[in-house]
Amino acid sequence: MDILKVSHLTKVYGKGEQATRALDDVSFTIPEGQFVAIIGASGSGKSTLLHLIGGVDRPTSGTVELNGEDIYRRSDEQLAVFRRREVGLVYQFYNLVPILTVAENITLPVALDGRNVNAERLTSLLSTLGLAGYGNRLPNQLSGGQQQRVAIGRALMNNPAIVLADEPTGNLDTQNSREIMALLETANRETGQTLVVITHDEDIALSADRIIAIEDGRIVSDERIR
Amino acid sequence: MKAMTSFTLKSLRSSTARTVVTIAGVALAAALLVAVLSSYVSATDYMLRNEIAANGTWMARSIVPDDAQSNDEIIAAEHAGDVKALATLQDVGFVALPDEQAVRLGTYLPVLTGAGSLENVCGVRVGEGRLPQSPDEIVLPYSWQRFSAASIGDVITLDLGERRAVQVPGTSGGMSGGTIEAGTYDPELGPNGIMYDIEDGSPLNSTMGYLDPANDNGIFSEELVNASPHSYTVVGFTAMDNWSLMTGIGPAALTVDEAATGDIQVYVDLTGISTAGQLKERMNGLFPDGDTMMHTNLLRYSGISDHGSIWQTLFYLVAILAVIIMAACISLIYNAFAISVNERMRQFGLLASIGASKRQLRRSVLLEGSIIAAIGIPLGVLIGLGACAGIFVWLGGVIADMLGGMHSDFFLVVSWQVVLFAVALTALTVLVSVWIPALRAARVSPIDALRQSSTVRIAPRALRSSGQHMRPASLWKHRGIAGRVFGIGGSLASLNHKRNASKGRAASLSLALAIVLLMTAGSLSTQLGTFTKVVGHVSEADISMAISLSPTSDETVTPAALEGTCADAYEHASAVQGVTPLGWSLTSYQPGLVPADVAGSALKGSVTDDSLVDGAVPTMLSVLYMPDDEFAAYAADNGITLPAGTDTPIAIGVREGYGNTGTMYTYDELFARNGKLDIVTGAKNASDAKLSLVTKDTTEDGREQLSFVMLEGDRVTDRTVPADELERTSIDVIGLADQRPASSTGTNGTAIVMPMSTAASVLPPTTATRSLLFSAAFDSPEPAEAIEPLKEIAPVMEKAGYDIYYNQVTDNGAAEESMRMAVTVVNVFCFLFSFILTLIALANVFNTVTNGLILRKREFAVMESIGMDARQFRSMIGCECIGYGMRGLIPGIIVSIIVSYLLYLALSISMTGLPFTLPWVYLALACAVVIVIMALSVAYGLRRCRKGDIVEALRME
Ligand SMILES: Nc1ncnc2c1ncn2[C@@H]1O[C@H](COP(=O)(O)OP(=O)(O)O)[C@@H](O)[C@H]1O
Ligand SMILES: [Mg+2]
Repeated sequence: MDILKVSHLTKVYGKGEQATRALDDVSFTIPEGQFVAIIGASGSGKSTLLHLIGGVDRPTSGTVELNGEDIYRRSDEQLAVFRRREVGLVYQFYNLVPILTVAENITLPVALDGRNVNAERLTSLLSTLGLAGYGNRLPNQLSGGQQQRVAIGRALMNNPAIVLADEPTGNLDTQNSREIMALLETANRETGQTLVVITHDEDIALSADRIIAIEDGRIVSDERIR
Repeated sequence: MKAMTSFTLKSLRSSTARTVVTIAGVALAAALLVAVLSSYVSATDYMLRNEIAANGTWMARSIVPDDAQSNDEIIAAEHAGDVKALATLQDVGFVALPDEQAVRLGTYLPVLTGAGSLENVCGVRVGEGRLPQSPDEIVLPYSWQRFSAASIGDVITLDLGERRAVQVPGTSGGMSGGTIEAGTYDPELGPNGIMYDIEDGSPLNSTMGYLDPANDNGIFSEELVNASPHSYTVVGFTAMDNWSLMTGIGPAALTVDEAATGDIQVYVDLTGISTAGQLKERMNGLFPDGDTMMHTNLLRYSGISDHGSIWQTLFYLVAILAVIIMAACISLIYNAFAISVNERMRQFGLLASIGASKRQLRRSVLLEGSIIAAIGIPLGVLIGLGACAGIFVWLGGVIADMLGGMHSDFFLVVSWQVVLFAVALTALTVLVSVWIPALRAARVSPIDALRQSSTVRIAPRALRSSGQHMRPASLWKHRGIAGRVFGIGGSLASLNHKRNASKGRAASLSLALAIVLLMTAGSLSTQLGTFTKVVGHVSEADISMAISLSPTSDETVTPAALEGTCADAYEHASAVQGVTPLGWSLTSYQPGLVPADVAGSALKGSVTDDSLVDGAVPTMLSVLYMPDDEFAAYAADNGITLPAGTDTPIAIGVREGYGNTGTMYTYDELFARNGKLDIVTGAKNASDAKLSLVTKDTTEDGREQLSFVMLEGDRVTDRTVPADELERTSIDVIGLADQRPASSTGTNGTAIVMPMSTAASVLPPTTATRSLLFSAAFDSPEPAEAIEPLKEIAPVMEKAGYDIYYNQVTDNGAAEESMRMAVTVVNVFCFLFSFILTLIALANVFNTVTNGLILRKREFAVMESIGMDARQFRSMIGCECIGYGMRGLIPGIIVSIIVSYLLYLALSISMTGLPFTLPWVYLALACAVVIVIMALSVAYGLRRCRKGDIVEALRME
């Protein structure tokens, strides 16, 4: 069953002369539980695509359907709810909230949703992430790899249907990169979460179920490798 | 090093807008400082020039007897190296003027002979003609030109005699007399003036006032002896207001080089004097036996002596303003720098990572500051001086009027010391502003700067607690009131306050500063407003008339006779061409007892608690009787309802009094509330006397008693009367008015206003010794032309059986016009100052608040991307704002109250009784303006944050 259906997705930044067609009529579907790698040169529109799937931006035209529902028919408020319940986002530059502790960063989506924190879930997540005992640390007391693990924790905390990662290892050394990818892949395998990762790393791309290549805002190849 | 310099220059150029703003801030600081300081210097310099033009360059005067030793001393002084110039004046004699002249020209005309450079040293000038050049030439006082038949070229013969003290028969002993310059008491030097011991037959010189037993309860009168005729050719008339020719008994005539035997006044201008004490010592050296008096105004304006209240006030005002300007500009420049350094933290990290040392980084920021100062300061100095010069050209005449001068033009005085000082202060301002950001730039750790994309610094306390064990169950619980009320948004806001090192301190500080600046502006205009009200108190009427009335018989002393005479005179005056009568009143001075709870603070403060009589303050009251219909109108004007009929006579109290003691302005609260008071109409066995209250003490058997000075028949006696033997009339003060009725010419002292019909019960029927004051007010389109006809009213009253000692008709129009302009100047000044301060304050709030938000753009974007909705975001920002607001407004309000109290203290130096009123309206206004600006800044900041939406913020590095 396809969890995600992207149809004729186009995104144009700016107007007139300066308009950039960051995405140009992109369509594809992703079945539930698939691990997709998106590759492409810098500026080819990968991040734009990811943001549109994640409900962070609004498309110029086209639709994004998650579980059969067009997410951009939602109001801004509903879209915010969508982001905190259905999607987990991980960025290259961790993007943690500097004044919040590790535990607070991870549980922020829960708090924003007005629910109580599931203590067991948090504790097990922390230990899975290798951050047991770091719950009260602030982001600037952590290494880059640790910070990225916090970001992953935040993305996974709400058990989203789909996890989107934009060059999650771009800033990390090989060792840390492996650990991070292992975490994401484990979540993908064990809980069946759909995972979309943008990467420049060939190894990572090859470990995915499917590789989508983008060039100038268009899909130039879409291969199932597993 | 070169690399750093070019890096600095590049960074200045790259953010042109902020560089321009920062330069403007520095220029503003320099301009304001140089303007404020130069205005002060220009004002003192103006006063000095004015003083020299009016009264000459003399620093001190010594009075020495005319003997061989003194003459040697004078010659020695003339040749002393440090004596710049010297002039002498000596009494030739005194002319008793015939009665018809005496009324206008004084009882005696003193004739002085001068020698030395009188024109420079004493500022002696002629209004017409020329100064005398030989002993047979004379210059007459300016008043003679108007009131006598003498004219230039006339030869006049004057009977010159000597003044001698005469003991009043029946008294014995000597007394001290002399002149003390009012308000010039110096704790180190004592009073500035001369005292003489007077005995029967003592010769009196021209510096001593008339001895009159009636006036100063003295025991001496005086006579003129050994008169002999002298002939002079009149060569001129003096200009007005020369101090050395204004003797103790009135303006003097001047001749030169005439032989004389009276005391010699030696006026000396010295070099190398820097303190008043030094001057006094030097004068004692030159004239060991002389009585020295100092030219206090000159010393004050030339900075030799520093007492002199209005100048002290001005000095402190200037000091307070300078501090506030600096504080305002420091915050402005500091913010600009802090923001610029914050934004470049990454660059600094990069530089540090490629090997720039801490010193180089710090220098880079300091260099940036220096470049900005190098452009901003000269620019500011030019602007400040230019603006001052312009304003002085425009308003110089009014400022001169305000400062009370008339002999010199007011213009900008540029002193290089002042410019240098202003430059130094501005440089200090810049240095302080730049230092902290410079330190922060130097402290940057390369890794942090490169790794942390966020500019948030974490509070050390938050870091310390981070090692503790995390309890998942308590996450997001107990996040303060904000969290409870505003949910997650509130929680985030309170966490931000707890953990963010800056805690929005810049924003809070700028809010506090804004309140302080706005309030300073407000207090300044409020306090200066009261000040100008007191200083510039001018009657509302165009013309004021004041005539003293002394009844000469038992018939004329009755209230009915007085009322008839006054009404008649008023009717006559009203008939004068073009005048519109505004009302009249009759004032008597009577001792009274005002209960302490009715008395205002100033009246209560005038006596100690144990001077109270039956709990009442003994005081002399001005009782103003008005015609009944005018009284009713006055009551109505002041919103007071008159009772239908009462047993006790009713009165209206005048709440405030203004005065001027010569060096101090007074502003007195005289009545606090309505209530009954007593007027002392007499005492048993002494009802036939003119009473004048002196003091209260206690008799041996413990009864309270009051001392009165009494004039019984022709004799002055001190009489003490036990309080319970006083004859009192109770008066019911039924309401308080802010001002005296328009017809009253007085402004100070305790006053009550009563209807004429009740005078009978309060004015004791006494003999001819009572003196009352008739005053009336008129409007007129041409006041100047009405003056002379109105002066002819007094003779009408004289014919009705009253002695007239005093007849004054004043044209208020001119005074009022210049006062109005003065108030305008003060208001313009306040407005400009407030305007600039407000701009600075608001620019600051705007700067810090918007920048605080813009710097957190990415943080906000992250929160939104993980699902924070708009409402949660608004409540977070709202809570943070309330936090900054509270932390800014409360200290701001406290500091601003302190500043407005300091301003009040500065004004209090030259004005007593000025009430301290907190300008609540301004405070509320300041808070409102600040809150509005904060809201606008937040709105703007958020719009800037949102402009590129979340995606852009996330993209940025
Ligand atoms: N907020 C934006 N405003 C303007 N142009 C943008 C914005 N975001 C992306 N772009 C442009 O769209 C194109 C695709 O960008 P992006 O999706 O970030 O590429 P990638 O992630 O593949 O490097 C680029 O040319 C980029 O400059
Ligand atoms: Mg990208």
